[in-house]
This record gives sequence, C-alpha cells and structure tokens, in this order.
Amino acid sequence: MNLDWDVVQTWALDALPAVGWAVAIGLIGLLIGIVGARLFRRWVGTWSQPLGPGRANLLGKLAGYAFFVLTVAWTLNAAGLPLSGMLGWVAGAAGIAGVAIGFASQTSASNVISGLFLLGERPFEEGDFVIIGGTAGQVLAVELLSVKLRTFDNLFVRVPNETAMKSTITNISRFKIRRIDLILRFPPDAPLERVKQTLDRTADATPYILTQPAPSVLFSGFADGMVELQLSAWASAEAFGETRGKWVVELLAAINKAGLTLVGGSRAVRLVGPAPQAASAPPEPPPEPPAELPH
Amino acid sequence: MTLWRQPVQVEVDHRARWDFGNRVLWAERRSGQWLIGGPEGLEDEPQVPTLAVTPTAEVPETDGAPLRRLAVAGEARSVELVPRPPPRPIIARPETPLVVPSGQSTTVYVGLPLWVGVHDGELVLHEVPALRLSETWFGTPAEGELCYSIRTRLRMAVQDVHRGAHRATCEIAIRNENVEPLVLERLRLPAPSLAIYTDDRGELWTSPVRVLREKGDSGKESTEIERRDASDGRRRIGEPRQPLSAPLLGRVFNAMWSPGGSP
Repeated sequence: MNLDWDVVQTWALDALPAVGWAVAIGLIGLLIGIVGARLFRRWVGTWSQPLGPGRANLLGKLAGYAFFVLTVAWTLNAAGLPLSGMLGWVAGAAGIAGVAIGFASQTSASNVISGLFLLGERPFEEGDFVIIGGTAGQVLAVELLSVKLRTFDNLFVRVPNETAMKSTITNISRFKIRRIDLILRFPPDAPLERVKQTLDRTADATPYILTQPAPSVLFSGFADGMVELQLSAWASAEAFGETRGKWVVELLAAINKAGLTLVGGSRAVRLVGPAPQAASAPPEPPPEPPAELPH
Repeated sequence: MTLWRQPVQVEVDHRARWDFGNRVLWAERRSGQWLIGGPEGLEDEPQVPTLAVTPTAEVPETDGAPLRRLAVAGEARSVELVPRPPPRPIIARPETPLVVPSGQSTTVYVGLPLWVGVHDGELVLHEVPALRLSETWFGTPAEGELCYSIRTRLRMAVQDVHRGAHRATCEIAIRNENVEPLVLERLRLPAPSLAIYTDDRGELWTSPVRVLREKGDSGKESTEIERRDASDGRRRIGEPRQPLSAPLLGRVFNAMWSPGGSP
C-alpha cells in the first residue's frame, strides 16, 4: 500500500494546533490537580481538626484524591475528550479489569472500610495506650489501611485495620483513673482486721494512691486451705505504673512489719485484656502480665 | 515579720537559705545562672523559715546537691518567697455531713495548704508544696478530675480554722436555691483560681468563693470567685494559676461513687 505522504503531512499540519492545545491543557490540568489536591487536602485536614487528628488526616486524604480525580476529568473534557465517551470506555475496561483488580484489592478495600468504621467508632485516638489483639503500645497513627503502634519496648507495629476491627481493643488511657489489684494469701488464722489497717496505712503513706475511691479489702475465696484477699487501691492512669510499684513495695514492707505472713500463690492481677506479647518494660501506663509476688 | 514577698539581693557566689525547721530551700547565684536546691516537698507542717544569705564557700554540707540550674543573665539578682495556690482543685469535707435546707445560706471556712514558690521577679525558680496532700477523684469512673484532698475540715466559724504560716483561710459562701435540701459531704474548691492575700497581722487569706445550687430539677451548681477590694485592708501577694473570670459551672458537691465489689 502506498502512503500519500503529502496527505499525511497536510493532516498533521492541520491537526497540530489542536493536539498542542490539548497537551497544553492536559499539562496545566495535571499541575492544577497535583498542587490543588495538596492544598485542598491541607485545608480539609485543618478544617476537620476538631474531629481528631486521625479523622482529620483521613478526611484530608480523601478530599485530596477526590479533587485530583475531578480535576483530571475536567481537564480531559476541556482537552476535547468527551467525558461520556470516556466513561463508556472506562466502564468497558472496568468490566474486564474490575474482576482482576477486585480480587487483588480485596484486602485493601476491607482495610479501608474497617478504617472508616474505626474512625467513626473511635475506640482510641492518636497518643492513647491500647492493647489490640494482644499487642500493647501507643497509637502513633490511624490511617486508611492500618493502625500504627509503638510498643513499650519501642518496636513499630502495623496492625491492619481489618485485624484491629476484628480484635478486642483495650484502651488503657481512656479513663483517668485505674484500679490496682493484688491477690494475697494469708493463713486461715491471720488477723484479717490488721490486714485492713495495714492497707489503709500504706495507701495513706504512698503518694498518688487516691483517697477516693477508697482502698478496699475483699474476701476473694479459699484456696489450698488459705484465705485469699483482694487488696485494691486506685491511682491516676498517668502515674499507674509508678504508683503500683511504690505501693507494692510499701505494702509488702508494712505486712512484714505488722507480723502478717503471706503464703504461696499471692499475685498481682490485671482486670482486662489478654497478656500483651510485646510489653516487657512498659513506661506509662504499663499493662503487664500477672507477676508473682515473693512468698 | 512575714516571710512572703521579701526580696533579698543575692550576690554572685552567695546563697539565700530559707530554713523551715526540718527542711531547707536554697537559691545560689552564680554568674549567669541560678542553682536551686531543697526537698521536693516540705512534708510536715513547716515552721516560719529563717532567711540567711551566706557566701557559697560557707554553706553547710547538709544542703545537698542542686535540684535545678537555670540560665539567667546578669550578675547579682534578688529572690523572694511567693505563696502559690494549689495546682489542682481541693476537696474539703465538714466534720459531719452538713445539711443546707432549701432557700438557706451558710458560710464555711477552711485552711488551704499553699505551695511555696521561689521567684526571681516574674521568673519561677522552684516551687514546693508546704504539705504533702493526698490525691483524690471527684466525679464518676468515666468523667471527673484529679484533685487534692485535705485533712482539715470545713468549719462554721473562722476562728476554728486550722491556720499556719503556710495556710490561707478560704471563705466559702454556700446558697441552696433548690427545693431539695443540700447535704454537704464533699466540696470542690477551684484552688488554682484563687488569689492569695495577707492582712496586717501577716495572716493569709484566699479570694472568697461563692457556691450556688440553682433552682430547677437539674440543680445546677456553680462556683464564683470574688475579688477582694483594698478597703478590707488585705494586700494581694499571690496570683491565681488559672484566673476564673466567669462563674464556673459543674459539680461542686459530693461527686463520689462506690467502686463496688470485685472484678
């Protein structure tokens, strides 16, 4: 087949201004899309700060993406590519590619939707101390796909939003005060009234043990022929770890001084959440696994 | 002689020492810096301190190592003790629950323990509580605030108030406009918003507090802090930490809950 180069040249010269114009519009649109999306994201993020940093960040991102997509669509339309035709083409392509992409992005979509639910439900905020599915740490960020944690031994943990959504979440820092519990075993003939007096004295002497709610001694049960008592005191969540350490030391010294005898099986207890995997030396507030006390 | 607001000039390589009986606070001037030493708290009811400024070379070894160093320009500067209100609200209780019937008013008094500040002009060099106060919770398990609890009780007569060099008497006017009688067991005082005053005998007072329980089913409670005028002969020597310009709405009385039984 003979190509008529004169015809091609004439056609190219005729079409060149239109193509150049379309390319120019496309480049300008792309620039507006990138810069505008960034500015719009920042503006929405700032405007939605009262909703919390996690939500603000996510809303900003979504707004930025939406701005970019709309700008690209407008640009293509302005460049002479009709949107309706394009949508048809996109729909056709999507029909074929959608199945493949759908399978591939199933996990991501699930994480995004879980992330939206987490942001709506707000079981925690950035900065809170939490236990998610056995991982204890401080929430660094709540993002579109995952929750980022810093464990108490300074490891970075990424928990997919879907996993977080399915797991039991314990927020350690939601409330300002926490209860410290100790289960102590005494011989059956121990003067239990003196135990109560000793508890009151040590609670009074230990800084940060709250006077209200008052410390308490509860009969927990009999175990191996011994009397089990639960000694409880309240402290601010902020100083929980420090207070618990000081109180246990004071209490054991006072029990010893009062001539009371502890027997095997005494322990510190946690009330909520599973034993964390990662927390070996938590700074604040410490969700430690049950620890045996000296007998 | 009052111990508060008495600036003393401290030359370089000299130390100002306030001896409270069983504790010593000190501020030592070095070229371009202050060294501050002493306890984190004065613990027991401290005495009125004696002040001495001595050359660094002659200070007793018992003063211990400095707690803080602050870079402050210049050479000799002056330093003074300033009374500060507690940094958290205070929970005070009467000897036994006090009933204020509907439409009735009463005035109660309490001696508030103060914080002792060591100041260089406006600059706070150090601050210690004159007494160690226990912490307590005012509110429900989910909502509330950490406060300090004091052992001294609310008194009906001002002469019964436990006074001391480091306590300021707080006058609290209570009015119950609600149809229900008010049973006063615990009272929350907005201590950080109180100013400190001294009278001509050197005794300390806080700003007067007015507490109101309003009419209506909700029985809203509000706290208002008055400003003393100069006519009552009291001089303002300590500023509030958080000024309260409008009446503070929120629980004032008896927010207490029982934690209940085991787990």
